[in-house]
Amino acid sequence: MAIPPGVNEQDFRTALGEFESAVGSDWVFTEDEDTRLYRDAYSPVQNEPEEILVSAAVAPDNTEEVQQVVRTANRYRIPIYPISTGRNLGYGGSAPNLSGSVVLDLKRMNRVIEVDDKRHYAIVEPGVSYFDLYRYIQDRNLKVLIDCPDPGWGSVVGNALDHGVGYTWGAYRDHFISHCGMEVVLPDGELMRTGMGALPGADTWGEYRYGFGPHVDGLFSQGNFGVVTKMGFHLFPEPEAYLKGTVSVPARRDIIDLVAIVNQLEHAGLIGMPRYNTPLTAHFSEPEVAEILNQPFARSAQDLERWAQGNDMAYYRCELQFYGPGETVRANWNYAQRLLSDIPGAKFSLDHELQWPIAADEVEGLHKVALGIPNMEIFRLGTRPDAETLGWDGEMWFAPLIPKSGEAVLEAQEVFTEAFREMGMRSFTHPASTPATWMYRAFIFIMGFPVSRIDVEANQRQREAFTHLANLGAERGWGEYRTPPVFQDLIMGHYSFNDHALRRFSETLKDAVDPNGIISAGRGGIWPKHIREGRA
Amino acid sequence: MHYSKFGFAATALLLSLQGSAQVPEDGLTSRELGISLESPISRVELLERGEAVYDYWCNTCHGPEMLKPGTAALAIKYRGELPATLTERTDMVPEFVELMVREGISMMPFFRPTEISNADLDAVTAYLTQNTGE
Repeated sequence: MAIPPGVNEQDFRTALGEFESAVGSDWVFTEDEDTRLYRDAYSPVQNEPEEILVSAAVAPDNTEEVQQVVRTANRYRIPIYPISTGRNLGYGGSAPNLSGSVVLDLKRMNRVIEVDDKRHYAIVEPGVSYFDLYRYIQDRNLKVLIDCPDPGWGSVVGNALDHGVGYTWGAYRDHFISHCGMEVVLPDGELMRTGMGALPGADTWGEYRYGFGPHVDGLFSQGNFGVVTKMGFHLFPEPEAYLKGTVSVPARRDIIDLVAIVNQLEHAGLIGMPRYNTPLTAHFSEPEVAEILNQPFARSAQDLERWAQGNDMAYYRCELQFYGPGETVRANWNYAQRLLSDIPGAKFSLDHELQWPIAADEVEGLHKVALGIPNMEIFRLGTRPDAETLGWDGEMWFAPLIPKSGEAVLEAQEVFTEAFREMGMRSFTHPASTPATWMYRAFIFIMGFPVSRIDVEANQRQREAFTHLANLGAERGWGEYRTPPVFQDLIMGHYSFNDHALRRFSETLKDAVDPNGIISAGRGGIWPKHIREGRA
Repeated sequence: MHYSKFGFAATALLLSLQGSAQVPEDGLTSRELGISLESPISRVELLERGEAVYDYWCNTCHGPEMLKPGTAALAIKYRGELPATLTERTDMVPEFVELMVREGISMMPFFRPTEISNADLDAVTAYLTQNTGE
């Protein structure tokens, strides 16, 4: 049996006995065949000495049981790591940052506490997945949309706590921003509620997020100050209509005006999530285009644009999504076309119009998450056992935030593409790369680095490349918004203003709130004092 | 919590009555499905439980539609020599199903007992191997 670091075997056995008393012996897992299921399925260090393994897992059914488990852990200084559904794939999965931790598996806590489709909020437990919340709403014919990320199996709570994002309207698709009030078990086992949940008798938990006094909720996102056991979320009232239109522009530098105008539309509340793409990638395997892309960046960018124009192809496209009354979405689409017509050569297409309630046959082939329908179709991109994806058994996401401007996109295209060239690697970026737009007010220049289940050397090369790009980005002020555990110290180190004042402040809080350092040691780059000092 | 046959049937009926409001990925919530710690005694109940577990945990990737990533992957892998949809297979043995659920393969991760308990794994294994050898 594995023993958590810094814990003697007798204390650990006693603690396990207390865990069993708290949750029942069926829900304490110590056998290898069970604990190995808490590895990160996409770990970039799998089968290497750095791979994180857990000593045990405990799965409480309710908040009281969580409190009992946390009290025991605190008494015996057992490092614990809460997970919700454990599907944080690409950013750590269900694995902790510290090997030997006990995972607090909250999957059994899967109650939808409340969904209100007149005041438009939900309150849920951590084990509730997007599929669960969606089905709950559908079963009751409630008139609200959920905003979900690509894979629907993840936790509504866990995703928000990891700063996860979705696909509809700005205020809803930033899942932490859309949260409203939480219930937290603190490291000494005490129960706290934030926002209006702190006011006994208040019926406004799901409506007003601040309550009174300091707003502390952020400490529990990408943090290690407590175990979140309930969270409220604002929900999008079901609109009448959806319209998607696409604008295409012909030149590489058109991205500057395109982003400026689309920002204007989005930040004024006229569109939901815009989606930039390029039609050119479909031609990258053609010999002529492949040759163009093999050249140094500036030449390659110039020739690619010439090739696109010679073949009467757009260089970029942007899909615009409108939600609202039928008349309004059409009027806003007309307005968007008027503004975007200022870009020479801009072309427009009206792609889809839908009305709620939406029937199953209407959404086939559409981007379902944009309509609030959870699914797993994104995995189709990766689960292709052909030559191209051989050894691509998972990925780690490199996700730097860049400014929401066309100039930043052009710079990121060049910086990252040149970096891949210098490393002698096939580039994940190119002179027509477009940004991801999940964040309401910034772009992410996201790329997935492959992770192999068996090829240790390939994983090492990918980690080196990831580290190099992360450092290169940080030199330009581009930081990761979220990252796998193996990189969290590196990334927190980039957020270094005034001699790491932010990290030092978090460490001060950590030592005060969790003096035994039991909760999620190392998460977000914040380590408890005894481990920090051991490393210094 | 144990699986309620009546609850499942009632939910299915409710869904079928919703008509145009019905969209993909309807079904039970994980709370409604529950987690079984003991296998049903009768074969009929075991297969019913297996189907319910399959519908919740497997169908979102392995359903018959080609948009489902597991089905799309198996279509490429088997190139028509075997069905891409798991429920149409007649060649799977229990050890194979158990291996896939607890080990995963390629991008498919493994599933924990708080998701699919050992009893529920037995049920879904029985469900998926019921036509084996036919």
